[in-house]
Amino acid sequence: MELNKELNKTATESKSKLAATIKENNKPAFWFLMPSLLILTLFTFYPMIMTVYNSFFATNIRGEAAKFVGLGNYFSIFQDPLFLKSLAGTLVYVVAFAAITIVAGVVLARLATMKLRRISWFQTAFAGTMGTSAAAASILWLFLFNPSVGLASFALKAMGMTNANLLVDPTGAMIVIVLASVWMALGFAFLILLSAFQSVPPEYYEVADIAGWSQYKQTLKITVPMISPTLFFLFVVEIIDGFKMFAQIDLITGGGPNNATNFLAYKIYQDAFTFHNFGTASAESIVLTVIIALATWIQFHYTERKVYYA
Amino acid sequence: MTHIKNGSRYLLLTVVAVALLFPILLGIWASLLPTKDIAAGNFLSTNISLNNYWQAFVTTPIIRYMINSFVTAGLITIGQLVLCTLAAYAFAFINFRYKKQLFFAFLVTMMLPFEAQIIPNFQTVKAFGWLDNYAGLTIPFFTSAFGVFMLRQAFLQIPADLVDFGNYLGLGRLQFLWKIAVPYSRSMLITFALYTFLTHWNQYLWPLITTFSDDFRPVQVGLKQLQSEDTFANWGMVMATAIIVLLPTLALLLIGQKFFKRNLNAGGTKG
Repeated sequence: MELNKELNKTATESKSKLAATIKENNKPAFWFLMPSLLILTLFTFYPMIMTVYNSFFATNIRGEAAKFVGLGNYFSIFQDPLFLKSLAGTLVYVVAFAAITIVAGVVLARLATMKLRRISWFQTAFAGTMGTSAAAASILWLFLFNPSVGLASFALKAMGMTNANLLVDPTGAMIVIVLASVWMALGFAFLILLSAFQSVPPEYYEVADIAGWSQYKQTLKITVPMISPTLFFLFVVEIIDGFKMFAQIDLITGGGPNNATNFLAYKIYQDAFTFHNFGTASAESIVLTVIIALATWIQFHYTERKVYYA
Repeated sequence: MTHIKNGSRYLLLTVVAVALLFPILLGIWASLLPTKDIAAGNFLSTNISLNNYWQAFVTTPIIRYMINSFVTAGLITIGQLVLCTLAAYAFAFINFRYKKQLFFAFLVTMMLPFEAQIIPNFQTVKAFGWLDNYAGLTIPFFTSAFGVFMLRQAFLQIPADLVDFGNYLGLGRLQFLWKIAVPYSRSMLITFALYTFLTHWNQYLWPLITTFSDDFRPVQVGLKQLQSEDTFANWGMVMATAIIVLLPTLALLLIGQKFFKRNLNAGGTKG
């Protein structure tokens, strides 16, 4: 009884001591965090709240909330054929972009892990597209597919295509945008996959060699399952990037032809800064936010548990 | 036998590398050709020269655009290094009230796309008088949750013995940060700095809507400007400007590749 009391006393004492240090530490912690908090509050939390707020209003030409319309902006965008077309196009683009980037990245990583001298030279070359900005890369691709001077257009003509100007064709423009975006994302995807490939214990391949498995079978049955957490991580990252894609559209197609490549981020920009419909653009922004928040949450949730630690 | 096998492997690797880098190689080649040869489809012309580059430097504001980008990306990198390091230190080494909640609030910002915040941010920057100005281009990006998170992870890897040693020496918080935490996490800080610089050198949407003059317009938006002006048909020069823009980032990537390989994956998959 006595002892218990004594123990309780010590526990309370140490607890209050801890509380005292925590209290004492609040001040320095505040000074360390304050600059970052200030920036995030002003340029992330406040604008996010304002975007939600604006999405419930019809806005005037200066972008001020003029009339409360409740969910009106949301109802009207989901009845607007142009927005639905944009959303559908975005989905097609994002899935094609993410899937092709990852498959191509896996192929490159497999090639770049062959046991050869000077293989690091090829690793550097494969990562090379990572250094290209979206704007400069867009111009390179615009040049490639230009109807009068583009080598890709010449090649298509030589192969017998009558309409070799892909950029005036809705499907063609989509293909060019997907290819250009994959090309830009490939360097990063490759580097991530390369280190994942290198983290697979070599003994696995030695056993598979003894069992007489082909290289192809080894990649498919050993490497891919072993690196599945990285594949999943990349897939989500590419999906998030895909939904935010903007510069390629602005420079290569301008959303055309006939809005075939007027994807979500570009439509928001146009509705906001070309047509000054801030209310509509805000509602569309919230749709984008929900999609991206969901994807990020899935990524956090999943990678936290399933990461394979080599 | 192995010679032939290895030979065919090198051939395969070379073909893939050339195919992958083809848009860049073509751009470099076209930038050396006279525009009239390009327009005539004569890509095998031997009339190569640096005239397009000379013309780009003399007749376009490309150098001014490069300086603008360099200042903008540089200021953001310095800002993020300082602010993210400070915040990461607090989350890694100080116990304080609402720490969990605050850290969660930082993480939440990673889920919110900047694209959805541009309208209010545009209005804020306009109200501050920061449109078409370095302040508007840089200050909104002086911190990032990604950076705080990445650097906190790095700080948490500092061995407890080293932390105890710092306490034993009686180092203050800033001294500990500067003399132990920062040097110990050097390679992560360099990776983070390279990553931040590249990201903001390449930034497009925000400067597109907040800059109106050549005095502040960064080079990515400058490319659009050059391409949409009457120089559009002058493909040789347009390619030269694109290559000029690519070179610094390609160089940075080559220098930083070993850091990227080592740290991006650690920050990525385990983040």
